[in-house]
Amino acid sequence: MLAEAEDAVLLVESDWDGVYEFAQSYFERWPEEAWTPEVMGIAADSTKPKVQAFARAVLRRTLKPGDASVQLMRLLEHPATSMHLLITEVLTSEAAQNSEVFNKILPLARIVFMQVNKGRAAKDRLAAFLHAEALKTRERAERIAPLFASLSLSAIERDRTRAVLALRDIGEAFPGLPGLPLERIALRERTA
Amino acid sequence: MEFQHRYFGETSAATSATASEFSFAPDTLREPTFFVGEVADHLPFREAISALHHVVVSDMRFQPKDRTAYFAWLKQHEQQLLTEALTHQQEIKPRLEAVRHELGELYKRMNKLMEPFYGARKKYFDWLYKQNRDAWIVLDPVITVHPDEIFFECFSRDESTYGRLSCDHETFKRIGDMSYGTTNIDYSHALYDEFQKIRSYRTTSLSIDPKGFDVQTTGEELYREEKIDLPDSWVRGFLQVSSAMALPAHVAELHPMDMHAILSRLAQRKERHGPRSLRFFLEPDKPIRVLIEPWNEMLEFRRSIYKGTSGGEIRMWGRRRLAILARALPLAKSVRLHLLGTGLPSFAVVDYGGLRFTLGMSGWTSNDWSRAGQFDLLAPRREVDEATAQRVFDALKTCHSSSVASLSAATGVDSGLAAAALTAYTQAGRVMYDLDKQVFRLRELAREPLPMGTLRFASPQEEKADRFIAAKLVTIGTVAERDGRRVIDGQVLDNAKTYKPMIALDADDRLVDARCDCYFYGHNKLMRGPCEHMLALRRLFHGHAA
Repeated sequence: MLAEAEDAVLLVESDWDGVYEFAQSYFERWPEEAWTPEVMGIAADSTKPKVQAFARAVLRRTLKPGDASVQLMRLLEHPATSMHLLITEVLTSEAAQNSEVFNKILPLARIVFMQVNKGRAAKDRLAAFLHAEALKTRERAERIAPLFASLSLSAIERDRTRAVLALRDIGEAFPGLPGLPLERIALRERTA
Repeated sequence: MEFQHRYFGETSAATSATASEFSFAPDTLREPTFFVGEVADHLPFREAISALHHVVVSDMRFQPKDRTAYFAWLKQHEQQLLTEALTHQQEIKPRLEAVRHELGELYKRMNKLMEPFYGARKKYFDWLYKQNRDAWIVLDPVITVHPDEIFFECFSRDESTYGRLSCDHETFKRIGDMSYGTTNIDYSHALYDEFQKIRSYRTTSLSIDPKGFDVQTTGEELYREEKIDLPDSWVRGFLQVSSAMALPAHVAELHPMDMHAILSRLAQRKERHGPRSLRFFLEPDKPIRVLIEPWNEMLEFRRSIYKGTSGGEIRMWGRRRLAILARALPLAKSVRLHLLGTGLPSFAVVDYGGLRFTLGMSGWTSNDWSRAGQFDLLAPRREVDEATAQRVFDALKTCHSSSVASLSAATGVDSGLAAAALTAYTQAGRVMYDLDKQVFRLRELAREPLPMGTLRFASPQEEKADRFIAAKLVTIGTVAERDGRRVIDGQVLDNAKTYKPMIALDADDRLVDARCDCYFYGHNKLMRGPCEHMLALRRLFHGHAA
C-alpha cells in the first residue's frame, strides 16, 4: 500500500463506514515519511468533514517546520473554513518567504476576509500576519496594500479598523507607495 | 409540461492527485452539442460554478414548521391533561401522581427498548435524504456552446432566481472538439462536492461528452431516458427572465466589498416585520447609496460612483437571495447591478475577467415572475409578420450571436422590427439576451418549440385584452408627443362601462407609464403589470401604427 500511497489514501473517501474506519485506523499507523504532500493533499482535499478532521490531525502530527511551505502550496487553495483555520496555524514568515506560497496567500486572504459572518479567528490571524508581512519589504507592501484598501470598505468595523491601521503603517514605512486610498492630514495647529 | 431527455451514460466527475475530470452527459435527442477544454483559471471557475450550484438548489419559499411531533405528544397526553384540569379533589391527586409516575417509568422502559429502532430509523432517513438530494434539482441546467463562449444557465426551484455562468473560450486551455448548440446536461448533487476539489495544481478538464452522438445505433442499453414534468409557471418564469434581460435598466457598478457590506449587514440581523426592501439611491456622478429597511440603515459606497445618465430610487425585494453571491464575490473584479425598477427584476453580474456569473432575481421571492412580475408585458410587442421574424432568426442562426444593428444590416429589416422579432423569440425561449456583451444569442431552451398557446397568457388581463380587441370595444382618443414620449389615451367598453386608460410609450415602443380608472389599476398601480384596458389600447395603437 505504501508503494502506491496516492491511490491507497483514496480509501478514506469511501461511503461505507466499515471501509472508512479500517482506512483511518490503518493510515494512522503509517510512518510519517509516507505522508508526502501529494498523499496528504488527497486526504485534505476531501469534502467530507470527518476526513478533513482526520487529515488535520495527521497534518498537525507530521508537519515539520521545514515542510510548511510545501504543504501550504496545496492547502492554500482549500475552500473549507475549517482548513482556513489550520492554514493560519501553520503559516509562518519562513514559509511565506517562498514567493509561490505568497502568491497563493493573497487570493486565499480575499476568500477568508469575504466570508459572511464566519471565520473570525482565521480573519484576525491572517490580517495580523499580512500586516506584519507588508512592513517587511516594499515589494510585499505593494502587493498587500490593495487587499487592505478593499478591506477598508468593509461593513465590519473590526476589519475596517484593522485595514486602516495597516494602511497607515504601510504608508509610513514606504512613503509614496502608489494606490493607497489613505492620505495623512496633518493636525491643524491651534494656538490658545 | 413534459420534457424528455435521453442521456448516454452518466455525468461523471473524478479527482485524482493530479487531475480533475468533469464529463457531462448531454441530451442525445437534441442536436449534437459538445465541447472539450481544460480550465485555465481554476479558482475563479470553482467559485463561480459553486455559486451556480447554489442557484440550482435555492428554494426560499416559506416552509411551515413541522408540528407533527408536537401533536403526537399532545394526543398522548391529552387524557392526562384533561384529568388534571378537571380534578380538584385532593384525594385523587396522590393517586394520580402514583399512576403518572408508573406511566413515566413505563415510557422510559419503552424508549430504552425502542432506542435501537429509533436510531436505525433516523439513520435510514438521513441516508434517504442524502440519496434523494438530486430530487431537489428540477430541470437540469442548460448548456450552450457558442463560437466566443460557453455558458451554463439554470433556474431555481422556487421559480424566482436565475443563474448564468458564461466562460469565454480564453478561460480554457487546449480546447478540443466543439460543436455549437444548446443542450441539457445530466446534473447531480455529487458534482458540487467534486467542484470543491478543483485546484490549480490539478489539470481540470471539462467536457460535454461527444460520445453519445456517435453511437446512436448500438449500445442502446447505455442510454438512459428521463422524463421531467415541469410546472408551466416554472417555464414561464424562465422565459420571462430572458425577456427581462433585454429591457433597459439602471446599471450600477459596485466594488465587490460593497456587495459584501450589504450581505454582512443582512446576515447580522433578522427582520421581524416589513418593509423588507433594499432601496438603491442612484444619482449621476454621486456615490451609490443603499438603505436597508426596516432598520433604515444607510450604506454609502464612496468608491462606487453611479455613471448612469438618469438617476432614481429603486426598491428591491427578496434581498436574501443575494446571499448566493457570497461565494462568488471574493475573487471577483467587479459587480454590476442591473436594476429595472421598483418591484421589477434585477440582475447582478459578477465579473472575474473572462468568466462572468449572472444572478437574476424576480421582483419578489414568493410572488414568482409569472404571477407578480409580469414585466414581460412591458416589453415591446410590435406585430412582426412571420416571414420577417423567420428571416431575422435565420440570420441569427448562422452567426449564433449578434447585435440588433448587425442583424438588421444583414437582413435589411428595420432595426425596430428586428428587435421586436428577437424579443418575440426571447419570449418563446429560443433566443436569449446577453447582458455582458449586449447581443442576442441563439439558445433553444427545449428540443421542441414550447407550446406558446398555454404559456402565452400569463394573466387573465392579457387574455381579456385580446377579447376586447377581437370584439372591437377599444377606441383610440388622442396621441400626443411629450418629452420624446408618445402619450396615448382612449376608451375601452368593458361590461357596459367605459374605462379611460392612458399609456405612455418611449421611442423604443416601451411602456414607460400608464394610468386607468379601473379597479385593477387603482388597487395595484403597475406593480402587477398593466391592466386589461391598457393592454388592449396598446395593442390597438400598435395595430394602427403598423
